[in-house]
Parts: sequence; C-alpha cells; structure tokens
Amino acid sequence: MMGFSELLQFALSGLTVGSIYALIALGFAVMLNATALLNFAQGQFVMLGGVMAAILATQHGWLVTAAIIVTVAIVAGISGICERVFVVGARRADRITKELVTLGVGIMIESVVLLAWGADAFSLPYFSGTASIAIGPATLPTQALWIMGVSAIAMIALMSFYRFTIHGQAMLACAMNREAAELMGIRPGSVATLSFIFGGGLGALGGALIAPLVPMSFSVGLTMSIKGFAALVVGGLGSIPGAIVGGLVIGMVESFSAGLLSSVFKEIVPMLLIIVMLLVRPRGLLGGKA
Amino acid sequence: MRLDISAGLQSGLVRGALLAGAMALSISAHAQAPYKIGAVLCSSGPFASVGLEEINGAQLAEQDINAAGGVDGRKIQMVFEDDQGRADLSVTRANKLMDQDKVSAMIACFGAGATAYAGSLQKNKVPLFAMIASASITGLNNPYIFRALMGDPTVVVGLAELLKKQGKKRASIVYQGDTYGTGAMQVLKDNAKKNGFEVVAAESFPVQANLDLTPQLTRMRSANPDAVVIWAGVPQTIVALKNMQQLGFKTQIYGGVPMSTGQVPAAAGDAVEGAITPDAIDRTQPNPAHLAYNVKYRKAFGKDPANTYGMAAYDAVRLIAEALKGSNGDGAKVMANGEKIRNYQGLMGTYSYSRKEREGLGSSSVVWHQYKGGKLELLK
Repeated sequence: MMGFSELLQFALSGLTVGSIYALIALGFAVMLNATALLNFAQGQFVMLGGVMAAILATQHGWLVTAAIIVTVAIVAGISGICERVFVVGARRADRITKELVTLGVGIMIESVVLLAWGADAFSLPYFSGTASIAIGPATLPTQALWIMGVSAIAMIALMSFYRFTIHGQAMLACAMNREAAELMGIRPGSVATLSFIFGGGLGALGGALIAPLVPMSFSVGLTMSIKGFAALVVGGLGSIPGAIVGGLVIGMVESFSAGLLSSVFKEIVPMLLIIVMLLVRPRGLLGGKA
Repeated sequence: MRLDISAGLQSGLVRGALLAGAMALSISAHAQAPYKIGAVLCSSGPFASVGLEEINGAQLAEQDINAAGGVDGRKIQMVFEDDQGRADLSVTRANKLMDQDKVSAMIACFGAGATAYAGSLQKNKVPLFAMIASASITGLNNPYIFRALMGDPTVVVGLAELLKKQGKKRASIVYQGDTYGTGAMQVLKDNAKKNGFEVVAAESFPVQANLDLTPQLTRMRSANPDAVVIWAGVPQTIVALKNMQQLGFKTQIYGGVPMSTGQVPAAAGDAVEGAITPDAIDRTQPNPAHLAYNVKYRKAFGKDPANTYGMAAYDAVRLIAEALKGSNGDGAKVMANGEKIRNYQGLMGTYSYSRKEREGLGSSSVVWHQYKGGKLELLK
C-alpha cells in the first residue's frame, strides 16, 4: 500500500515535470497568440537550446550563464529566420499547410543537430548543486525551483507585455483578425516574426533549464512538442496562465498514473485526458475563446 | 538512297560494337562482382548513437578485408540501410536488401525488427549476424540467425551469479518496455531462485523519451530492495541514475552495457558513483588489438570511438567474411560455414558457433567494472 511519503513524492515529481511542460507550452502560446499557428518545431527549439548550452558550457568551458544567454540569442535568431524563410514562404497556403511546414522545420533542425554534434545525450550540471531539497520524507531537485521560477517570471512578463505594451496588443490583434489589424496600421508580418523570435528564445531557455535534469539529444524534440501541445490543449489554447496550469496538470497526472497504476499508463492517461478535454471543454481549463 | 543505306549500315555496326562491348563489360563485371553484405542499422532515431558507431566499425572491416585482397579474390561491399530504430522500417529495409540488392549475408542491430523479418531470412537463405543483445533473437531457433554481440542472456545470467556472490537477497529492476528490457527482466527472474535471491520489484517504462522516473523508483524503493538493476538505453539510464540520486535512494546499482559508455559519467556525474556495469571488454587494460582499432578509427573518422558497438560491427563483418569463403555468395553455404566457426578471436572476445550454439561469445567474456571517481575500475 502507498504511504503518505510516496504520495508526496509523486506530487513533487509531478510538479517538477509539470513545470517543464509548462515552460514549453509558454513558447507555443506566444507564437499561437500572434500567428494563430501551432509551431511544431517548438520542441526542436527546446532541444537545440539544451544541446547548444550544454556543449558551450561543458565542452568549451563557458560560464553556464554566458552559454545560456548566447544560446537563447542564437536560437531566437534561428527561429525568426525560420519564420521569415519558411512560414512567409508558405503565406498563400492555408493554416494546416503552414503547420506542416513547421513540422518539417523541426525535422530539419533534428537532422542538423545529428550531423553537427552526433547522437550523444548532452547534459548541464545542476545550477545549484546536486543536493535536493527535502520536503518531509520526499525530495525536490533544486533545478525544479529554477524551472518554476523562470516559468513564473516568463508568465508575468508575457502577461504584462500583452496587457500594457502596444506591441503586445498588436500581437493579440493579429491573431484575432489579421485584416482588421492591418487596417489599423499593424504589420502582421513583423509581428509574426517577432513572436517566433520570442517563442524560439523562450524554448531555448527552457531547454537549457531542463538540460541538468533530462539529458538532451537530437531526438527529444518531438516528445517535448507533444507534451507542450498537450499542456496547451488542457490549459486552453493561447492562454498564458493556461499554459502553466495545463503543464502542471499533465505532469501531475503522469506522475500519479506512473506511480499508482503502472508506467504503461503514464503515456495513456494524459492522452485520454486530452481527448476528454477536447470533447467536453474544447477551450481548455482557462481558455477564453472556443 | 545510297547514303541512307550506308548510314543505316554504319549505325548498325556501331550499335553492334557497342552491344558487344557492353556485354563484355558486364561479364567481366560479373566475374569481379563484390560479395554484398547488407546492414540494417538504426543510424537515426533513439538508438542512433549505436547505429552510427556500427556503420563506422563495418566500414573499417570492409576497408581492412578489401585491402587484404577481399574474400576468394573478390571484394566485399557493404550496403547500408537506416531503420530509424523502428521495427516496421527494419522489415522493409531488410526486404529491400534481400530482394533488390541480393546480399549474401546481413548484419542488423534492432531486435524487434529482426524478429519480424526472421522468416524472410530463412526463405531467402540470407544469414544474419545480429548485433542484438535481446534474449528473444536466438530463442527463435532460426538456423540463419547468429548472434554477434554479447547477448543479454549471457550478461544477465552473469549478473545473477554476481548478485549471489555479493550476497544480495532482494533484487529489483527498472527496465525499458521493449525486447531489450523485458528480455533481461525475464532472464533475471528465471535465474533468481537458483542464485538465492528474489526479484521484489520490476518496473517498466515506455521507450520514448522519458523525462522523469521518480514515481517508478519511489514505488520500487518501498519494496526495500538491496540491489537495483537499471536496464535501459543511455538517455534513460542517465535519467534513472539522476532520479535515484535526487531521491536519496542509496542501494547498490547494477547497469546494462549502456551504463558503461562514456556519456553516462559525463552526464550523470557522481550519480553513477559505485555502480557496477558489465562489458565485453576490459576497459582498464586495453589490449593491443583494441589500440590498433582505435588508431585506424581515428585515422578514418578523425575522432575516438564513442562506444564499443563499432568493434562489434567490425567483428560481425569479419565473421561474415570468414563464412563467405568458398561460398560463391550462396547464402545456404554461408550459413553452413558460419556454423563451422570455432574459437574465432575477434575484438570483443572469442566467437564459437555450431548448429546449436548461436550465442557466439560465451559467459566467460563478460567483464564487470565499477565506477570509482567517475572512472571504470575492474570489479574485484
């Protein structure tokens, strides 16, 4: 029988993994809010961020902070360029086609990483030491606090950006009605590129923060995309707090189903949750518009 | 008119000459045709670190064999296919090698795939030297399948004996839910009783990238084991080690071969300290043959081998070259020759096969190491 200490550990594990999913979902949400597109290369941006930061820090001896800043800048740039070249290139196509284009961009990034750095798993040292925090009989890795802290800051920053800045308002306007926004003098093209730069950078930051917990190799991107997307659906497409809540819910459900039932259910239960969510409440937990 | 006739005659002559020339070329090409060896390797996907290394090893073997004059005066030619670590692609790639490329023998690295096309091997009479560790592949009793890697049954039987030697009574295993992991778990359970321990917890997880195994490990810890076996690929092994460290789960750890690769201490740090891992070679005293291989490898690829899978592929291709002698490319003869290989000294150990013996490497070739200060030391 499961005791209190096990249940508490499941909750803390769920919190750790959930905050990872939340951070990935945030990047998704930023792009979705400006372009009404799901960027399926988002997981690969996360992977690229993790791999690149780990290589700069562990193989080239960079300070971890410097490695992360440079990585985020580079990946944000790559993401912006991808939007300019591939998504703009498909501007006459419908939404599904554009989303398939992002899927292709993701596969391309994977192949480039495989060619450039091989198939090894790369890892960063913990930012604050390997000792974990004891909470009663259970433990939480210090790295989880970094991930949660950054997710919270990113969430607040993004919400303020949308609420209080003209550029943020412009982004929301573009997603709501592109033509109307254009008539108001907003350039949807620039806004879309900006959102990809933000989203890509946020993904890379997430990857670097996760790298101490999860070894990053070229192939983890798809899993990251799926988890981030799942969090987005549960939380509500396009909602910034929804992305956080959705991530935490998926993380918790995974952890408890793996701990109480069996690992086999770890993948099944969250996917069931998504299907039920789409059927019963398609706008998600915190989604505003259906 | 005359012009036309003569033009026609000329072009006919030219065509005839060309045809004769082409036929001569094709005949001589046929006499010199290389022995083709197919390779279905997972050079992308989750097991790419294994597949890419195996391609390099196979290419080195191809170079060496051809530089020494080939087999029966004919060159050998590797034909590589990528199955991305997916069983369905494994089958189509293997069929392509058998049907279109008409290979005389094959190497492969993915157990679930090879199990699925095992029937075709027998039908097409193409022997497979499998660099597959999972128990099930030789359990098929297919005369066309030879194992060319230290097999899981061999390693896990060795592990069970080691647990007995170290006085362990309550073993537990966390394993990935594919043929590699479930095969090992079954052999461990089968060998528990005779070695005086019981398996008190067995936790599996899906093969796809898993970010966290703490729930499974928490449940495992509540069964109070005195030995933890981690049987998974490199990334999952790293996750499991880090999770155990995070949980403060301090029980003696035993790993599979992936835990011996250099990426693990690099990524897991002191989480792997004290863990005991198996290998086909003694890491502490590299023998001259391995050093020579490493020199060749660096010369060809400009870097050090990432793991020992390349050496396994090198051995597998050389074993096939042995079996190809005098076969004229006939797969049935290659198979019969393969069964006659005894005490072949390869890089990974001594291989012996017969009609019944399909494992190649014996249990005596399992070497146990322990991580001390981030380095592997021979276990005493």
